[in-house]
Amino acid sequence: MPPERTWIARLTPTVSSSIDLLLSVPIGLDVWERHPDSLVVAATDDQLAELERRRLAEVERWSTREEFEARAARRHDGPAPPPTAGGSG
Amino acid sequence: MASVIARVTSAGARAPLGRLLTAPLGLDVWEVRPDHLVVEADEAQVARLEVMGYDVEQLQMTDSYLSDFATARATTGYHTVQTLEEDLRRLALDHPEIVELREIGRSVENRPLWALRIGERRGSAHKVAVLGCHHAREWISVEVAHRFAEHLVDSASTDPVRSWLQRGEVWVAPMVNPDGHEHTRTQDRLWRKNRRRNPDGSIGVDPNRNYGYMWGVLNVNTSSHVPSDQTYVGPRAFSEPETRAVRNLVARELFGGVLTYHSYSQLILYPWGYTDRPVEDEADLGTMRELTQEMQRLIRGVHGRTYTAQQASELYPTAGDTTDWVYGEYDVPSFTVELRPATALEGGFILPADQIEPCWEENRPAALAFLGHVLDRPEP
Repeated sequence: MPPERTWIARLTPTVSSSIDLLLSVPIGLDVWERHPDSLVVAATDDQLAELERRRLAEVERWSTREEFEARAARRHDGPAPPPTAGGSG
Repeated sequence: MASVIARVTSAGARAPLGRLLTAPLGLDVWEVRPDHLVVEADEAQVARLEVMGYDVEQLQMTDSYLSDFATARATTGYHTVQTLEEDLRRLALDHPEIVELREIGRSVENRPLWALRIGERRGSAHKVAVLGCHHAREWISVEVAHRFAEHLVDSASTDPVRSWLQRGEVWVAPMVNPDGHEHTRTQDRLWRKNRRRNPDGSIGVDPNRNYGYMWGVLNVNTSSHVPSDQTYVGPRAFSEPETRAVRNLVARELFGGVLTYHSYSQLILYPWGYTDRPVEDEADLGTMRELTQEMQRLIRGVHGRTYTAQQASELYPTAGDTTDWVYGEYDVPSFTVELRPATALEGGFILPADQIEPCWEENRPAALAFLGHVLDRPEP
C-alpha cells in the first residue's frame, strides 16, 4: 500500500471548537505553528478528513509535503536552472 | 500527480508567452526568457498548455531534479554529522588551552554525541550548557550553537568573554540527535525524531519529550504516547540514549543555566511547557521573564526580527521537554529559543543557507546576555 499523502495545512477551529481542543485531540498532528486563531500542521489525508468529519476545523490544504519541500528547496537559491537547461542562470 | 520541469515556447501569435505569466494556470514559473519560459507543471497543466497552443518540452521530472538539488545545492552551508565532528575537532585542536572535545554519549545508531567544553579551568561553579538539534529537521539549531562556540573561542582574549572563560565553563553540544540529522540529509528532510525502532515497527522517539520531569503526563498531539506520532514521548522517561547523555552531563556539571536551540517560529520559551500555570516561585518567574524579554529586545536590535518571549505552554503543551526538566529538577533558568523563520511561508524548517549568518548575528547578543546572567553571578 502506498504511504499516505501528507499535507501542510492551516486549521481554523469551527465555532464549536477551539485551538486548545485541536491541540488536545490525540490524532497525531504534527503542529508546526500556533497562531491566535489557527494552527499550521503537517497531517495526512485521514487526519484532516477526521477533523473535518467531526467538524472540529476548517482545513485549508496548502501543499503536499513534497510540494512544500520542493518550494523550500527552490527558495534556497532562488529560481535555479534545471541541470539540463543550458545558457541560463 | 507527477510534475515535470518543462521549457514552454510559443507556437505562434495565438499563444503569446507573456499571457502565461498572468493567466491563472497555477504554473510555477522558474525562468522567464525572451523566447521561452521554464516552468514546473503537472501533467494536467502540461496538457492544458498544449491545448492552448504552446509547445512544451519536458526537461526533467521534478523528483529527480529535487534529489540532485537536495544533495548538492540546498545543503551547502549546513553541517553534516561528519563535517560538524571535523569542525569541533579542529576547534579543540587549535585551542587546547581553552577547548576540549568530549563524547558525552552515543546515539541509538551508535554515533558519538559531541560536546565542547570551553573555559580555562575545570571545576568552576559557573557553567552554562548550549544545546542544538534535538529535532532532526531543525538544521539551523546546529549552526547557531556551533557559531556560538566559535565566537567564544575567537573572543577568548576580549572581555567580557575572557573573564567568563577564566571563571567559568561553557559546554556546547550542537547536535544532540545526529541519527535523525543524518536521516534528514539522506532520506527525509522533514524527519523530526531520533531513529529508535519502536516495538510496533514505527521509527523514532521525540527526544524533546523524553526528559524526566512531568514526563508522560499529557497525551495530546504535541506530546503523544502513540509511537508513530511525531511527538512520541517514548516508553519511559530517559528511554533514549540521546536524552540520557544530556541528563548525565547536566547531572554531573550542575549548570547554572541551559539554552537549547530549536526552529522555527521565532520565540523564546521559558517553563512551564507541561501546564499553563506559571512557575510557582515568583522570583524565578520574574527573573526568567525579564531575561527572555531582554533577549527579545537584543535580538530585535540586530536585524529587526521579533522573537516573542513567552511561557512554553503558550505555544502548545509539551511534557518531558528539556527546559521543564532542567528548571524543574535543578531550579536554574532554562530556555528554548525557536529560531528563524517565523512561518512556513518563509520555508519553515527548511531555512535557506544564506540566512544562517543573519540568524546567528541576531542571536549572538541574546546568547551572550544569557551567558552573562549565569556566569556573572557571585560564587555560591
